[in-house]
Amino acid sequence: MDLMIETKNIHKSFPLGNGESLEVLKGINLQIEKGKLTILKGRSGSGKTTLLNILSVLDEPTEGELIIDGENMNEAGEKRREKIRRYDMGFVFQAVALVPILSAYENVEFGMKLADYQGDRDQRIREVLRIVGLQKRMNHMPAQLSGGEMQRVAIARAVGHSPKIIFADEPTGALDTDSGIAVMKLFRELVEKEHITIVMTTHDPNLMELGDVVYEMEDGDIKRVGREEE
Amino acid sequence: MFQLIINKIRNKKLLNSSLLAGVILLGAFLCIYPMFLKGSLNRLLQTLFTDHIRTENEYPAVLCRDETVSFEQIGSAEKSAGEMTALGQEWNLALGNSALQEQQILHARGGNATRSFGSGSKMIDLGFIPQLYDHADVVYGVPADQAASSENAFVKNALANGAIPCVISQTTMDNYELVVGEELTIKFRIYDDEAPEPVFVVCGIIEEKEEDALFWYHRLSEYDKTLFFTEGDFTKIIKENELPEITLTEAELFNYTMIDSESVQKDLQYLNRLMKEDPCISTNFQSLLRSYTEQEKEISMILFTFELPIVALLLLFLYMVSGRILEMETTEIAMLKSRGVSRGRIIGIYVLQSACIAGAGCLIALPVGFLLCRLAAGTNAFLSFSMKDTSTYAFSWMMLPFALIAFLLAVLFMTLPVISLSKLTITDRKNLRISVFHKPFWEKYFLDIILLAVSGYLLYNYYKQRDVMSSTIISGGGIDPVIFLNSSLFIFSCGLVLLRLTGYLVRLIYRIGRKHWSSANYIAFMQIIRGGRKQGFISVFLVMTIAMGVFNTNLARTVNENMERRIEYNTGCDLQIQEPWQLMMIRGQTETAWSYREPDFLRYDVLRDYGAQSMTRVLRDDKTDIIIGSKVEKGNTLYGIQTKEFGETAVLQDNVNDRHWFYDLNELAKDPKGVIISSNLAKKHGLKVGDKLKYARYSPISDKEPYAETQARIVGIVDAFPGYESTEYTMNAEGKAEAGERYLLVANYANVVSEFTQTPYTVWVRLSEGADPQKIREVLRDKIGELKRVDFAEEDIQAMRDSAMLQITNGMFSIGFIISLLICVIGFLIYWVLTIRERELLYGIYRAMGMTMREIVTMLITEQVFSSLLAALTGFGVGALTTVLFTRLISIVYLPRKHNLPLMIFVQPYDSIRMVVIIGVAFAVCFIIMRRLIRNMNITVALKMGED
Repeated sequence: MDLMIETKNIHKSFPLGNGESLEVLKGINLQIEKGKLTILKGRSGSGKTTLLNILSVLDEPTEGELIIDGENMNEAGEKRREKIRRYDMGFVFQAVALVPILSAYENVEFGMKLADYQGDRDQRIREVLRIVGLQKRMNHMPAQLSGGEMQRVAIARAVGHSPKIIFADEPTGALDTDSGIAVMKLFRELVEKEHITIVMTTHDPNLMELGDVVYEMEDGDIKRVGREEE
Repeated sequence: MFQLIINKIRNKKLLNSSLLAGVILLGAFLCIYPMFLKGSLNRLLQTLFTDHIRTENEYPAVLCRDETVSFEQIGSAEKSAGEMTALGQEWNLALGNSALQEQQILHARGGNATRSFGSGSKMIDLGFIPQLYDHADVVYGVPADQAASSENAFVKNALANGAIPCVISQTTMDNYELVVGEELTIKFRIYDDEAPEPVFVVCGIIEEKEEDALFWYHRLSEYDKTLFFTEGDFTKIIKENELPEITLTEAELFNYTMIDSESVQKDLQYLNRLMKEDPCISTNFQSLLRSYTEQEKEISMILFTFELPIVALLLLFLYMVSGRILEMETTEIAMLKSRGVSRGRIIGIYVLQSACIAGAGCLIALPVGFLLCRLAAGTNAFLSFSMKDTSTYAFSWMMLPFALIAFLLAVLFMTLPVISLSKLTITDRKNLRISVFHKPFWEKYFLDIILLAVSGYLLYNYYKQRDVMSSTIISGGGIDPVIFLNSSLFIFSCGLVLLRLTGYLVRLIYRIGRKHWSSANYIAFMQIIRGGRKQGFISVFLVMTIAMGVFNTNLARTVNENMERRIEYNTGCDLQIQEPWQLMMIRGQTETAWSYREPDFLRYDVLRDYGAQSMTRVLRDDKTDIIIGSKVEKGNTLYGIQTKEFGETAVLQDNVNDRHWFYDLNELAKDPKGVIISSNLAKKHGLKVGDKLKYARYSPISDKEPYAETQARIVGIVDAFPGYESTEYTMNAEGKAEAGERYLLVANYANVVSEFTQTPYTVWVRLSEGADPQKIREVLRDKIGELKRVDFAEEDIQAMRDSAMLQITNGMFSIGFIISLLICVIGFLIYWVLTIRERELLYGIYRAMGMTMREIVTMLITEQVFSSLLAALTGFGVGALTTVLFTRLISIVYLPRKHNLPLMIFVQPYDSIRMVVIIGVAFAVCFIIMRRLIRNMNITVALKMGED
C-alpha cells in the first residue's frame, strides 16, 4: 500500500478556562493511500476538522506522529510545514474562501503564484476552470458567483498548482444538494484524472458512495466504515 | 430597547469609543467658538482701550459734560457740584459701571487783572475744584482755605486788607511769572464805575499729587490762567460781581476693564442716545466702541471660517466611523427589514443609539472645549504654547447651545448612513454585492476636477483683486471669508485629484512590474487598486489633515514672521524715546521767531546700566520738500543721523537692499552735504549717485512756506531704511484708502542742524539681550521725566502676538491641527484594525496556503506604502502647493499694507520634521498594533472565526 499520510496515536487537547483540558482526538491511527478520495465523516464536534487541520499541518498534535509522504512532520519546523502547505497541498474550506478582490481567474492564478507553478500558467488556469465548469465565468468576481460556483473556483484554486493532496473541510456544507453532488463528482474526476489524493470531511451520508475510503469519527476516535471493505 | 442599544454599543467598543472621541472633539471644537470669541473680543476691547491710552495719552473711558449756565440757575457752587454728582451717578447706573473717579470743575471767565508786583495786566479766570487738596499738593505757600495761617507777609497783609485768597498751578505761575503774595485786582464790570474791584492774593502754588492719577483727567496745566478759590469764596465772587456765566465740567472716568464684549452694544446705544439728547455731553470712547463693533464682525467671521474646515473634517470622521459600524450590521438591518420591521423603526433605533453616544460626548465636550480654548489662547505662534495669562477666556453660557448644535450634527451624521441602508432587504443586499468595485462618487462624476476648477477660478479672481482687497481692509472694510474657505476647498479638491492620479500611478507601477511582483505584493496592489471606498476615505483624511497642517503652519509662520519683521523694521531699533520739547516763540514786529530748547541727551547714558548697548539721536521730519530742478515733491521723510552711532543702533534686515546699508552710511559719513535717497525717488526722477538736489523744511508754527532749504549730493540709493515706509495710505472722499509714495532723504545730523537749526529728535536705543523694558520704563520715569513716547519693539511684537486676530489664527490653527491629527490617527488605526479583523479569514487562508508571516507583513507594508504613505506624501505636496498659491493672498488679510520689506513665505523645516515625526509615530504605532494582531493570529482559529 502506497501511503500519502500516516498517523500514529494522534492526540489533541485544548485547554479549558478552568485549568482543565478537553481531549478532542484520542489516539488516532490512520493510513491514507495516494490517489484516493478519503472521506472523514461524523457529527459536529466529533473532531473531524481538528484531525483535518493536523493532517494538513495547519495545527500540531498534542501527542503522536504524523507522517506525510514518508516525512515525519514532528521533526519539521514551521518553515518546512509552510513549504509543504504551499507546494504540496491544496485547500478547500467550508466557507467560501476566495479572495474577494480577485476574479475567478486571478484567484486560481494567486494559488499558482504562491506555489511558484513552473508550467504554462494561463493554460493551466483555463484548464482547471474548464474542469470545474467555469471557463465562461473566469473573469467574474466572487460576489458575482453563486455559492456552488464559488466553491468550484476554490477547488480550481486548490488544484491549480497540481498539489499532491487536497484537504477539503465540509466543502459541500454551505451548498445545496445538487451543488454538493456536483462538487463531489468533481473531486472524483480529479482523483481519477489528476491522481490527486483528496481528504475531505463531511456529515452528509449521501456523499459517502463517492469516496474511496470512508472513516467515521465519534467522540475523538476513528474507525474505517466503508467502500474499500465493501 | 434601551438595553438593546447599550448592548449594541458594548459589542463594538472600539468603533463606538472612536465615535465618542469624534463627538467629544466636535463638541469641544464647536464649544470653543463662543468662549474663544468672547475672550478674543474682550481682549480686542481692552487692547483698544490701552492703545487709546498709549496713542492719545489720556484715560480711555470718560464721559464728560461741559455746560455754560447762568449763575442764577444754580445758585451756589456747592449746589451745582451736587447736581453734577447726581448726573454722574445716573450715568454709572445706566452703564452698569461704577466710575473709578469723578472730576468736577467750576470755571468762570474773569478779565484783565492788574498785578501788584509785575507790570501790565493779565487775563485771568476763576475756578473751583471740589476735593482739590485731596489730589493736589501745595508746593509753595498754603492752601486757600488755610490762607489765614500763611506766614508770608504779603499774604497776611493782603488778607488783612480784604483780599480773597487763591491758589494757582505751576503753569500759571510760569506763564504769568506770578509769586506767592502777589495781589491781582480785577474789575469785572468794566463799564460800571460803581462796580466792586475785588483783590485776590496768591497764597499757594499747587501741583498734582500724582501725575498719572485718574482724578487729573483735566490736568492743572490746562488751567494756565486760572485762580482757584474755596467753594465759599468762589460763590461769593460770582454773586457779588454778578458774573453772568459759569462753566460746569463733569468728567466720569469709568472702569474700562469692566466694559466687556457683552455690554458694548448696550453701552454704545446709551452713549448714542445720551449724546443725541444732550449736546453738552462728550465722550472719548464712543468711537472706540464703534470701531470695536466693526472689528467684532470680522473677528467672529474669521473664527467661524477657521472652524468650518475642521468641523467638516470631524463630521466626515463621524460619518466614516458610523458607516463602518453600519457596514458590519448591514445583514442585521436587512434581516430586520425583511422581517417586516418598518424603516422608521430601524432609523429610530440608530437615532437613539447615536443620541446616547452624542449626548455623552457633548457633556464631556464642555470641559474639554474649555481646556482647548485656554490652550488656544495661550499660543504665541503656531503650535507654540505659552503660560501667558488666559483668564480673559472664561466660560460662556453660549457654549451650551453650541454643545447642542454639536449634538444634533453628530446625531445627524451618525445616522445618515442608516437612511440608505434601511431601505435594503436581504435580497437587495445580495444584489448590491454583485455590483462590486464601483468607483467613489467623486471619482465617477469628476467632482474633484470640478471643485479644483472652481477653487482655481476663485484664486485667480482674488489675485486680480488684490489691490482692491488691500484697500478695503485698510479702509476698515470687511474681509471676504471665501478667501480662507477657498484654501480649504483647494486642499480638498487638489487632494482628491492627486488621489485619483496616485491611483493611476499605483496601477502603472503594478502593470510595469506585473510579472515580477511577489504574491504578497501582487495581492497588496490588488487590494489598493480594488480596495474601494474605505481606503479612499482614509486617504482623503490623511491628505486633508497633512495638507491643512502644512498650509496652516506655513501661513501662521509667514504671518507671524512678517509682522515681526515689519514691526522691527518700522521701529528701526529696539527702543525709541521721544521727549516733549519746549518750543519758544518770540513775537517780533513782522514775524515770530522760534526755537526749541534741546533736552540734555547725556541724561540717557543712565540707560547703559540697564541694558542699552548704544544710542543715537535721530532727527525725523515727515514734512520735508524735495526739490529736483523745478519739480517739488512735498511731504517726504527726512532723517538726520549720526552715521556711526546710527549704524550701531538701528536694525535693518539683510537682503532688503542691493548692498548692505552700511556701505551707504559710510558714503554719507564721507560727505557732510551728502544724502541717501530712496529708490522710488531715484526711479521717478531718474536720479543717480552724484546727482544734486535740494530739500526744504517747514517751521513748527507755519506750514505755508519752508523756512530754509539746502543743497545736497546723492551718495546712496536704498530700497529700505530703518523706520522708513515708502507707501503711505490716505483716505479719499469715499472713505477708501489710497496708496501714495513717500520719498526718503537721509542726511548728516550735524548738517541738518546747521542748515535748519535744532528741531526735536528721537532717541534710538539698541538693547542687549535680556534687557527688561519694565525696568527701563521705571528708569526713564525717574531719571528723565515726562516722555511723549516710549516704544519698545519687543513690546510691540508681544502686543501683535496678543492681538485678537493673530491669537485666533495661531490658536485655532494649532488646535485645529491637533484635532485633525487626532482624528486622523484614530481613523487610521480604526481603518487598519478593522481591515485586519475583516481579513482574518483571508489571512487564515493565505497562511493555510503556505504564505509566511514575513510575506503577510510585506503585503501590509506594500499596502501601507502605496496607500497611506502615498496619501501622506500627497498631503505634504498639496500643503506645499497651497502654501505657494494661497499664502501671499491670505496674508493680505493680516498685512494689507504695501511695505518696503516684501512679504516672504516662511517655511521652517522644523515644522515639517515635527509633522513627519507625529505622522511617522502614528504609522509606526498602527503598524506595531497590526503586526501584533497578525502574529497572534492562529491559522485554524482565524479560519474558524472567518467561517463564523
